[in-house]
Amino acid sequence: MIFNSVEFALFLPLVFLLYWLIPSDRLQWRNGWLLAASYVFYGWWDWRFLFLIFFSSILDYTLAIQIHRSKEKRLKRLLLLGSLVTNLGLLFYFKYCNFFLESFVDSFAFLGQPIDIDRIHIILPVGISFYTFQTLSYTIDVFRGQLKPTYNLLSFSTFVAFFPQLVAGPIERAVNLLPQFAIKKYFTYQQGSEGLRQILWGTFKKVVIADSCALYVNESYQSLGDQSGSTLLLTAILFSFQIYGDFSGYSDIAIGTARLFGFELKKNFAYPYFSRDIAEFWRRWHISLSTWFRDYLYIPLGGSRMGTYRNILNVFAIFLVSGFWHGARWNFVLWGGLNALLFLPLLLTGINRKNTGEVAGTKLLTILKNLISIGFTFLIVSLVWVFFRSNDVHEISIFFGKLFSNSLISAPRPFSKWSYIFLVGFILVEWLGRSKLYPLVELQQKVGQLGRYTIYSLLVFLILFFHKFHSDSEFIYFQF
Amino acid sequence: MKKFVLRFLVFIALLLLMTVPMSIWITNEHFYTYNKQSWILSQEGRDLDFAVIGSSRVYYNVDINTIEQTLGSKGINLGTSGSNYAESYLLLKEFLKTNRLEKLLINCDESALDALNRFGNYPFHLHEFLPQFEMEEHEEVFFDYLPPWKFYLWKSLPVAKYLEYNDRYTFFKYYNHNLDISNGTLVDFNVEKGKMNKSENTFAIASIDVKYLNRMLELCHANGISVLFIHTPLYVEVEERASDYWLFMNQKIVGHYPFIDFKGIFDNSDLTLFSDYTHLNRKGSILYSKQLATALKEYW
Repeated sequence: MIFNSVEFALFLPLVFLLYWLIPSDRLQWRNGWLLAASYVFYGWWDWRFLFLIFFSSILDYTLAIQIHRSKEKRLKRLLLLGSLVTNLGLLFYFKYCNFFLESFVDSFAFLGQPIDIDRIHIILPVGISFYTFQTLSYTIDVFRGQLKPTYNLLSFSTFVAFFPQLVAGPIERAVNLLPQFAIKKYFTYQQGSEGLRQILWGTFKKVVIADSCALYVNESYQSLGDQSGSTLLLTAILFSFQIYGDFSGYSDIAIGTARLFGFELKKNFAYPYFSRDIAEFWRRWHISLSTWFRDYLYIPLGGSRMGTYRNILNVFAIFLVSGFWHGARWNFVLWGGLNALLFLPLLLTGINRKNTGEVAGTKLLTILKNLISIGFTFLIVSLVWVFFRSNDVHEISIFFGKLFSNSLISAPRPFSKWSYIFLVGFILVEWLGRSKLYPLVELQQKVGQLGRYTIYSLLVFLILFFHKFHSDSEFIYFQF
Repeated sequence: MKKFVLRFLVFIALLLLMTVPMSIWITNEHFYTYNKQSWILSQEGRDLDFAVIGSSRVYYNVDINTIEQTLGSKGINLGTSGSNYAESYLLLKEFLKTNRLEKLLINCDESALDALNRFGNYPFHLHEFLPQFEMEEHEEVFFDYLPPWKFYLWKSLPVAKYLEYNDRYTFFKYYNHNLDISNGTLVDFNVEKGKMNKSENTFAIASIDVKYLNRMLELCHANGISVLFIHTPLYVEVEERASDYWLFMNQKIVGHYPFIDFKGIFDNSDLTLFSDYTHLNRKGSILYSKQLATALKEYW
């Protein structure tokens, strides 16, 4: 089931009403209901893969308790290794098996010794990269002694399968989310309306902004070789908005949905396109994944404490693994590597944390220098996204070959006039709300009821008029 | 909780209320699609000697200008891609409200008699006729092709149908000059653009399609329009399958009407006249239309 579907529009109110009808002192019933709803939500896509989530939940629940109980360091390590090998093994099998097989075949062909190996037909379970990282962080935290294991299998299973963030994050840490399943919850009007507002904003970003940009981007990618340089530049820029609207829209819907049930999820995006350099961009983009890699890979590898050479290696490691996490294709690895190359000069010259505060603070406008930095960073990020969007290295070479040609100085293929208007409006609203969790967060305090209802109605109608009822419009990050 | 649910319901109720004028506005003024159907529905005040109706095998294959020049009469091509007889019936019914017609040529089309299987997702192009959904006289057609829940949803919430097909319409009127100058024939210069998988075509007749073929005939009778059946060209390698179909049409329906088969008036072994196995290209359609016009002289 996807958030921008009619099924979900019927599913959510039903789950919501029944959840709050269960008395607050029946915590296990409520958690049980959420778990059942989460399994239905996931099983809607393919019920066979529910087994994987269930298995992952049981495995890490059991191993974490054993790790905690074990007195012997060696046994603790062995149990952790069991969790790592099993979880990453499953991830490897479903996500990377064919990639390595193909690379193996390609390398033999490159050496002039072609071999023939049949590809295995493997369906990639939706959200496997997300919930695997979530369960892994739990076991690692218990191993490190930063978290006590839960003895409540129901709570733990609901934590792993919690439907708002199950298939595309934010990747929650047990330390933040798991205790929330043990707290009695009481519905508040404020919480409910904030949840709905964030869902509305997220859906607008996905349906009106991302899907409109996707039309242009997909058309360009159908025949890259026939496009002018200016069209490809516009394609790169629009893809930046597409992926942002798509993924941050999903995160907003996830956070808003969780809030309807009284849960607080972590912020996943902090207006990344208003960043003044690449380092700031990476602190604001897909925060739950970046911090995951920081805490469970970069720091264990030594972080920045083991000399320049090792630091460079560690930065490359997290960016390359991050690229590879997104998908089993070389273009993702290149995308990760390129980001490392852009990030390293800032790190090595010690200016990677120069821009940590909000750009322009609470002022309406910012100085020209900041605007230039924001524009330049956005342009670089957009060009690097080409590596992410392209299907293979060949497409990347065609893209940049055509981009940097004489046709760059020409009129691009037209983009919908209405979409331009909504895009500009969207950027303005984001700019004005850049210090908030999401731009509409203070609407209740600053705008009267009539004004609010007008804004909500406008957003609802735009969503309904832009939504494609007869074609698939899945979220990009579902494939990861 | 009560306050939250109540306010949410009030908001939804207000939204639903707003959709009523919105739906009326779209229906009356601002609904246009890019297809041939809307071109036909926009025709007004035409007094014509003949029209030809059917699927793409009329739309592509019958060149009205050629027939007009040969016969010295005025006509229009009412063929639309992938249309079954229900769709042709609706188009004809709407066309006759604002135009006058003397003779109608109906194509014998095996696909249109098994539209649910042959025309995939769109046995009936609902989205082309959404404003017509509001008219009681057309309810039957929609009821036959929509799932009941959707039929009643569209009845009770008129804007729902426009929202569902929001990718199919525009707020700007559609002018297609190619259609204007050729009186509805699609000008297709392609030669052999695709080949057909012959084995996939099995012969079947759906009662729902027969029902609307009969409705079309009743409509013609009521309006004093004389009917003639034609069978537009199929490439020689696929014509065999048409024989069973023709037998049915002849026994059950067409037997009472004049019929002009392409066999006998058109050489269907020349692939350079086809854009694929079931459609003629521009050169083929002009040649076939000349020969059809000559054959028509016998009846008119």
